[in-house]
Amino acid sequence: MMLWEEFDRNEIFLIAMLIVVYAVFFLLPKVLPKHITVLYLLIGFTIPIIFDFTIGGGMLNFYQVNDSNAYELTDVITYINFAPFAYFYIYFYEKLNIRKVTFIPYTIIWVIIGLLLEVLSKFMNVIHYQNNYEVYYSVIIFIVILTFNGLFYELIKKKDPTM
Amino acid sequence: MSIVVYFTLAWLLIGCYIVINNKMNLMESTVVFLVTIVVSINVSWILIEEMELIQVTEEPQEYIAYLLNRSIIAPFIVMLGLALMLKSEGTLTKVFLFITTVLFLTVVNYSLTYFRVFEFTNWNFVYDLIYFSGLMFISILSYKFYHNLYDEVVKQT
Repeated sequence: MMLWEEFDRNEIFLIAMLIVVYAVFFLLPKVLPKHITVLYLLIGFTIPIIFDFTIGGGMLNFYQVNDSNAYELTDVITYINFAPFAYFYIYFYEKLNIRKVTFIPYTIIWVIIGLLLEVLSKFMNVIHYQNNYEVYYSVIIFIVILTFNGLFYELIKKKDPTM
Repeated sequence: MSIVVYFTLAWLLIGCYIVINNKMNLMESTVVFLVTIVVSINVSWILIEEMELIQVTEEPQEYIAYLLNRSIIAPFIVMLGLALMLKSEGTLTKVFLFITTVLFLTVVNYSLTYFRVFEFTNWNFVYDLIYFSGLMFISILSYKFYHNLYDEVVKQT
């Protein structure tokens, strides 16, 4: 495992994003209980790892994260960067009082946010598509992940006596 | 063939996990699953792609068997082992269940060589025993951490 191949704009972008994202995370008033916050941070951290090492590497190898296909420290920073986004999704889900009727438009807005972030990541050389992969394929991934996150939260609310 | 074997095993493990009388709640189970999958994916990637200690097949069907083992079978064996440990009383039973789980993980991983999914170039089952013991410890620690956090929230409400 290396730190990075070359310290250039993707590393600078990731470090800047890390500062901004976690500043927002700590500055937002706490709405969710501690155990839900930890759970959704972990979900946000794990999902990109699952996708990166399944379709982004190995046999399919649809995209490369950062400077090379080898494991870099910058890759870990990328995953840490994603962790608060699952939390933000649930945070605003609760804050905006999302219900059955508003679930679809709310999720569509997040799919658009996800796509914009992906386009920006591509521009900043964080992500490089390979083997005919195109940005619009990510729509499927975002829809599946965000729907899962929302439905899983509803399930937790039903099962957890503290909610 | 391997895809059928490992898919069935994955289904069986998920089924067993659902039906056992589990002391872990939904959120605790999810945390243990996520922590285990993160470790499992990263370790397998480092061993196969970075250090080249294990060679993995280039056949698509067998490759899916590897993905199933890494992402579903290993985490669910760990979760089942942990759930049974939490259910059991007595240190000796817990130690026995810990060892059985580590052995089961090692046997399943080694079985991938039989189906030609893996080829251990610079790797053997003793390393697997050490790695899976570590994986079990990490899962136990993550459960303890989250369980204490959850208890704290319950007491406050």
